[in-house]
Amino acid sequence: MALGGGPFGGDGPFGGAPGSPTGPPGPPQLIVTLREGWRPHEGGHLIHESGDEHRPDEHLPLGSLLRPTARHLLETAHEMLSRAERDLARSLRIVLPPGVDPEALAEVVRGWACVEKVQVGPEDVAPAGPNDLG
Amino acid sequence: MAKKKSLKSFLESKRPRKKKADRLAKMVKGKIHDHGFLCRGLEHVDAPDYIVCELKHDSQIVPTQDGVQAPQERSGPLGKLNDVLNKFDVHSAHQHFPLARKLRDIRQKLAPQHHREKVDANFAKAGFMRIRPKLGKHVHDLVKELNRHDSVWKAVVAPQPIPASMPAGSDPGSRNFEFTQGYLDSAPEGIGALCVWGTHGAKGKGVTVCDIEGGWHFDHESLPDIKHLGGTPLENEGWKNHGTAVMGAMLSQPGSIGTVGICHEAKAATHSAYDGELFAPAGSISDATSKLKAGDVLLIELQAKGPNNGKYIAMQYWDDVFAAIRAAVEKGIVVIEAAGNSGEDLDRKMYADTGLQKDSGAIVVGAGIPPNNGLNYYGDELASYGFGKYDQLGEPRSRIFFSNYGGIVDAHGWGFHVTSTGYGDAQGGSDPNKWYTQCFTGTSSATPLVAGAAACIQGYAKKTLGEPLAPEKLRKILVSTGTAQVAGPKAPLSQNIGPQPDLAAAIKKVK
Repeated sequence: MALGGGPFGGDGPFGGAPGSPTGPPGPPQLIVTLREGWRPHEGGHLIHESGDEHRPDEHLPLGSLLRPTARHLLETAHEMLSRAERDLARSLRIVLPPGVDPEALAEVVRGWACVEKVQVGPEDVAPAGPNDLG
Repeated sequence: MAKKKSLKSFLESKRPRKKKADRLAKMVKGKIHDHGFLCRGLEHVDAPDYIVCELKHDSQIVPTQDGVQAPQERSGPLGKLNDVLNKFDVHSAHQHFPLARKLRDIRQKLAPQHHREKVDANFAKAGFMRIRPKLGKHVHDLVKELNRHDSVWKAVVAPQPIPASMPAGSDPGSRNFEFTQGYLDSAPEGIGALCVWGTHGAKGKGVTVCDIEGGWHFDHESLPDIKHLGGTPLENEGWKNHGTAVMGAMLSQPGSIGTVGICHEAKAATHSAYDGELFAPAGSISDATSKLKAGDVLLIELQAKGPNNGKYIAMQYWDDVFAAIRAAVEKGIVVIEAAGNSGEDLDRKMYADTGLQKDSGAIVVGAGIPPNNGLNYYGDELASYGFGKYDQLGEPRSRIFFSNYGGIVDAHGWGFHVTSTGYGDAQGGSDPNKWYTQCFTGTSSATPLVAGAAACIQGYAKKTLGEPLAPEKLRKILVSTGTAQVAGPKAPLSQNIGPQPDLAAAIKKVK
């Protein structure tokens, strides 16, 4: 998947060097913010402070992965986190297997009681050179 | 015995030769590095060596147009000087500065009184003599002899000068590009880095600057040691050049080669947004945050396709990135983020209630037109964007055509013609660690300029206040003291990219 070119897309005086910024193909992803009190768990399920659990794998296509955004915060007690850290700690990505329509699955995930917000992840991540001006 | 001696002498005859070769190699290397640049392509001029000899003030010996003269009572010293000159078969010996006889005579007349006094210029000039031996090889021995003479103050071999032109060498690593780094200049053209470098801490000392993106040439000759904090660097040349150019604008080291970074005394760090499986910008920001401290500077040198027909937008559109930035800022880390390069209005209705219309605490950076805005050497590269070969991009400090804009954009930097490390259009060759560019472009090139300015301010604050500024205060100072955005023919001020930092003005507000 091409992630845009050298500064102006392609080689030549703007890029100067061979090769434009390309990266490995990115699988579709959902960016999920859980409701207050919920956190992702390394084991792939979601846990509430009260002890309630949500097991998303029952609702996701086979091969989906849950990736907490800030793993290091999950090891810290909730009350030790700042407001911004608490918000970050309830953020996760769901990495979907190839071929799954992320928009359709986002609708499913929005229906979970523990979920506050769902976005489809970026299709391409590129260096901030002026590529693809559309 | 004879055989042993022969072997030993054979070995010894080899050893010194190698040492001599090593010494010679070091000398050659030393000449390149220690003696600065030599203009290449100069023809050797076969000018003869000569000696410049200054006589003592009280010697009363005075060089003339065709020799030397002295009063009768000084004939002894004069005779000895002539003996020295005769010994070396001198081609010519005469006054070094052509002076009228009257002025020369003053030297002779006043010499006894000038033993310790300060002398006037003509008196001093009248004491200089130019001596040229017939054989150039005698010049150093003659200098030695002259310096032993009672009447001689100092004799030296005259230098063989070469033009003090800019270096024209084509060998990678031999050139200096600092003179093309206009963004270092004072406002309104540049960010005023040169104006504040003389101020304590204002080169970024004590601050770590971390670049989050994909790849770098870690061993580039102009870059300092870089601490890689995490993530998997991509081996793609495009990413590596990009990261190298970002680092160079901020952190390249001063010296006789390459470029010099805005905050070149800051420490360099990187974090790849790629985690080995996929791009995880929020995770990278979060991980880097855990390894940085309050006062450090974090750059987000990424953009990604958003919901408007795949136009590239700032990363804080995505909730996890927004949350990660907020956590970093709350820790006291200054986050600088590229606005993106699709010419997109980030105030569009479709972005309402997203990170593009909320304050994450980051300093979001747009790209402006630099003062040197001609396209002449870019050929037809921009024809598809409506530019002719020799067009101007527009008004300096107005929004450049590709920069995203909107209410969240806080400041701008040069979005074009940024000289830095990497790419190889200014200096190429087989070794990418010696590549330089004069074409670094985009909100990519603008962001490190603003980040460099932020690091300079934090370094200064740490030195003078004993602690760094809170990110919010720093942003306020940077924006309130900056050089205002200018309207362009196709870029009205309503397309906000914020002001360009002015370090000279900003640093006065650090209290």
